Amino acid sequence: MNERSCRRACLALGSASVASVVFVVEGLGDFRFMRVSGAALVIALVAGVLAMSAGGFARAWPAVTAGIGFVGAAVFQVISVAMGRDWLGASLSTASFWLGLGVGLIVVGCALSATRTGHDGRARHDGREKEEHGSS
Amino acid sequence: MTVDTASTVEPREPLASSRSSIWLLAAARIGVALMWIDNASWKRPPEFGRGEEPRMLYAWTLTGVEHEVFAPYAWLLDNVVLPNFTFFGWAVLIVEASLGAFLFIGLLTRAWALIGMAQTAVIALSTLNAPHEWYWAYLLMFLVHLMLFATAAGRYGGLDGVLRPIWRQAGRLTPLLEKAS
Repeated sequence: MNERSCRRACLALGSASVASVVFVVEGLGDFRFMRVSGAALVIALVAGVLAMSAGGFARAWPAVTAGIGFVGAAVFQVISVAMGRDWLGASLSTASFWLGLGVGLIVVGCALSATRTGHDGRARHDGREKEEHGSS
Repeated sequence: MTVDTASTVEPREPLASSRSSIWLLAAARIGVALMWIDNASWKRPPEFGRGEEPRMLYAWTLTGVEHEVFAPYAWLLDNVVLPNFTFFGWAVLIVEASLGAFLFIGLLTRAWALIGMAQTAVIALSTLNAPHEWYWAYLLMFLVHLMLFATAAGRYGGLDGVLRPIWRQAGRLTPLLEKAS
């Protein structure tokens, strides 16, 4: 149950990143909550798909990797704005969004890893018990 | 005559009693998060709008002095905040960007809802008397954060709901974490 929740959370966070590609459209006007273009588009797609794969294959490392990538991109975006540059084709709103996805994926990735370790440990323990009972 | 209150009180229904109410609560939380995310874009460092012609965050902070809402707060703005605006500009950016981030994913939602209420109060104290401002906007903004806090909205379709059982199982759901999520 816990593992399934974590996998669904990774899928949801990854999907949110992929869905943010809609903000490429300038015609959204007031509903363009963040700017996504250029390198930001690649970050949204690559890290988003990585997060979704973490959910799909129940692996913690893609979630944590994508999370670190998002947090790094958010910090980089803030530095970019502070220096008056536009390196990523994003905005401070995009940085806020990436910060959320990043923190979320790191926390869920760690939780997924913990639940899987617990699950594997229990499975090994059950297997040993079965062997012991079988041989006696 | 004594009344046995224990036997007369009806059991309460759970807060989110249907799947649709869970999704609607999550939608409201994400909507509030998008408001903060959207408004992070004009808190641009390092000047935050300070200059010969004040703009953006600096201009809005200045309204708290020019169109005073609460005298001690206007004094604080004039004597502490405006002279040290780089520090306060960064503080506002970090707090508001984090509000958007954490409310979006529903992590530590109750704590961030409280911070949202505090930040709303600060914004209202700066802008409430500015021309063309609708005071209900700030009251509604405060109340929606109060709702997120009261319903612990992150437990429904948010990461609080995913992580609390895991924290509890691992013995990591400390009283502070319990209250913050």
